[in-house]
Amino acid sequence: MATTATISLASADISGDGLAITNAATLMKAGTTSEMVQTTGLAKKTITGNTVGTPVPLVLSAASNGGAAKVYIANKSEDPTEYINVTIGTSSGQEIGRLYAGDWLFMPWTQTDANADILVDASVTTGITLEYMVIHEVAANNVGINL
Amino acid sequence: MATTIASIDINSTDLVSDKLSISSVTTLTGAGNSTGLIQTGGLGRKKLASGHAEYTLFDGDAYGDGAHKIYLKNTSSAAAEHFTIKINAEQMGKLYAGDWAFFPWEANADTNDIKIDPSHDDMVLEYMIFIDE
Repeated sequence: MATTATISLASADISGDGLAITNAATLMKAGTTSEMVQTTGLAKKTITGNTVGTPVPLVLSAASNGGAAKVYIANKSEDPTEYINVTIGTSSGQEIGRLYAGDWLFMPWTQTDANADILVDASVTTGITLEYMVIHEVAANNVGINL
Repeated sequence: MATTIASIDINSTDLVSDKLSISSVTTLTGAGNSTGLIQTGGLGRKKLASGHAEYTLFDGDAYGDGAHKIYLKNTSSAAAEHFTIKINAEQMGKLYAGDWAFFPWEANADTNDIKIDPSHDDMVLEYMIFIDE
């Protein structure tokens, strides 16, 4: 067996033709047909108010790993005004985007260097709860969840 | 207002000893509100030669700040073929054959372009943006 990630994008009214996309990917090691067998597990964390405007590492990178990894993050808030900023790169602080209440992301992650951490900060001081997970092929101690 | 649903299911019977079954569903709405996104670039396809290093797929200058969502899929079936995805100068990751990605994009700076770089000639990427403007 393997690990699969399936996305469905559906709408009856975003265009005159509607929208119904479904895609399933089997998660493989970089450039191979070998399955990824490591995971951080599904974690749950409340990003507290002191992160407002100050991103903190959520998933830690390691130097020049370059292997395949998939990152899943979900904002479990139910208040539509609450979001988390997701950035990549400790040095660059490059913003990817904002995950609003209920939103999720699933993206590849290469960990090009030790600065390629994935960081988050919350929009509110009352805290926002996230669920997140990395499925990867990284050597021991190269991927860690920042607790 | 349109209603667009994005759902993900991550499943495995053997990644860990407990069966893995994660499901998440979201309705695509504007930044900080409950209004469904009504604009999209449509589902597109782009064939790129390897010489198209860092091809700008979405130009940050062309979009305002917002809760945009990006969908990408590598249509290749050859395991070694991948697209490297960058935002501005920061590498996000590599999308290998059959892989897809879905992530928010705020485009809060003109330089926040989403760039793709194919590893081989004539690779085809499928892509779509949901626009919050």
